[in-house]
Amino acid sequence: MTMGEYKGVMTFAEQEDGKIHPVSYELLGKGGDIADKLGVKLSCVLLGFQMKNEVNELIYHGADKIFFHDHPSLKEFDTIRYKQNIVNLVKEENPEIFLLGATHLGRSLGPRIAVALKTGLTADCIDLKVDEEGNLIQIRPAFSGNILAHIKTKTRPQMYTVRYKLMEKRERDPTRKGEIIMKDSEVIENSGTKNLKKEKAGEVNITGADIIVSGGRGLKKPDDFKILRELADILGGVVGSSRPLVDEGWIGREHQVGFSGNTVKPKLYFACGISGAPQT
Amino acid sequence: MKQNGIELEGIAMIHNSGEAANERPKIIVLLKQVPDIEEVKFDTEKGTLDRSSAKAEPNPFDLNALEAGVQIKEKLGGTITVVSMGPPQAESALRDALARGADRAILLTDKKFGGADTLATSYTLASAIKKLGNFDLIICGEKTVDGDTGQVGPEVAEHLGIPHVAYVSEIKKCDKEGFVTVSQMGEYRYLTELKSFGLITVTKDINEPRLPSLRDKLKARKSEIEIWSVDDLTNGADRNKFGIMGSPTSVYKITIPSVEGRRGKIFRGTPDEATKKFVEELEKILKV
Repeated sequence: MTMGEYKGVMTFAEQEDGKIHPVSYELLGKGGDIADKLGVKLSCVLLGFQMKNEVNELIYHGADKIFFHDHPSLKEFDTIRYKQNIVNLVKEENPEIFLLGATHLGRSLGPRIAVALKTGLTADCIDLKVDEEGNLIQIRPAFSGNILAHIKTKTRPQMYTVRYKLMEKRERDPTRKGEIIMKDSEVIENSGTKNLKKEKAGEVNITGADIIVSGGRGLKKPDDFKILRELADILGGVVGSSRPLVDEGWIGREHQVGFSGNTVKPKLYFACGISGAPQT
Repeated sequence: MKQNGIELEGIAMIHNSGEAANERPKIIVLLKQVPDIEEVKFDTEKGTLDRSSAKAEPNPFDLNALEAGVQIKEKLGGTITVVSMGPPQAESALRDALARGADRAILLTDKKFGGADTLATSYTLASAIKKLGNFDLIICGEKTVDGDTGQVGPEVAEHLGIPHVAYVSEIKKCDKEGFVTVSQMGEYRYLTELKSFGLITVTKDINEPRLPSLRDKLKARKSEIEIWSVDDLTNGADRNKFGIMGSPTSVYKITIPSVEGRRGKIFRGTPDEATKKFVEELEKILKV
């Protein structure tokens, strides 16, 4: 296939327990901007089982076309099963651009898809721009956020994982029309891994929090987090922490703020005892 | 060929299959030498980094991977082979790995491996693993602190056609039937069984890497590091897929992120007045 035969922007819609992950809408927002600029359609691939009305939400948020793999074997995330079905679809549809969220799931799945398609994958992009020739310029942090690398891909599809909570989603429009295409799924009985159990990892959701009260090396002892927790509770926020204290075991890693932990985008951030060095 | 639904391109013969299950596990740990991120300096004008400004060290996450391997070995026996790709200097990171409990160390070094992105890097590592043959488990760090992609592990698994579990924070069970891992996926913790063989990427939560003893350090100093070049891998691998030739992505520019200056604001008045003003300010922010 020549470069020109690849057309359109496709995004991966991530779901957990039948609920669409918000990053999926952000991808549709960014993917839609790119598709508009290139004058092409925006499609979306969803794998799950009996998602009902949730599927329409993807259309309301900007998708022109949904490819829905509706099968019990795809209800829960399984790297090999998801990969195989997405690779099959991409080989049929030949999108020029394929986007996934840079979530744990996206960053586990994306690399396998890229290798299977023999194409490049840029991790954790914080911005994507279309250049004069219609190629995508990918901007991503490297060296633990100390530099920004500007990257181009010479193979197709151009693949990226995109950082969560950075791209704007489009306003939900329930009058928007789109097409839902039900796909036959390749069923893989034994994928080599088996999910035995899953559980909520604790109530802290630092990446989604609007208010974070965060502590750093300025704290004297682990107990000092109680003071921060008190403030966070009053404000309806969550407690965050810089890396050194997490490494010391003062607080769980789910509280860690920053490059190596969780990307946060709160409206209000209290930095207590944090010097503000680039790596918090 | 297809077996158990997984594409096993030639791997079926080389992983430990049924009758070999009584053997001690063969573990491969992937390790990269990186510059010390705390020290490394960047030229903000040219947008380059000065590698000589910082000492090189093993990627911290890979030390967790190695420690995980050592703990499995302590329980079940077996061997640990560490594989690294990098410049000749990366030998020191491998020596460190030997001191920390690895049995064998291989450095993939060749100018033709240079300029590799994650696709070419993972292809090179996978080619070396194929050459090594028999293995049960491949362990890598969740990411490196320089490239920061977290892609190489899962990409190696795909090249080899084996399953993987990413972001493993605990190994609940390991015996000859396989492994049970705990991994973090967003808001959920998954308990996943990895049947018989595969690859895992580990987070810092999995363990606290031990420091090597002086005796082990001295012993490692005299140990052999095997050096493999392109020619050692091309029996079965495509040399056009190594290094810059095999890399579809390329960095064409590096910029230093602009740091937004802080704009301080002092709230004056009696404590009550100042607090009131401050709270009003916060409420404004939260309304947006």
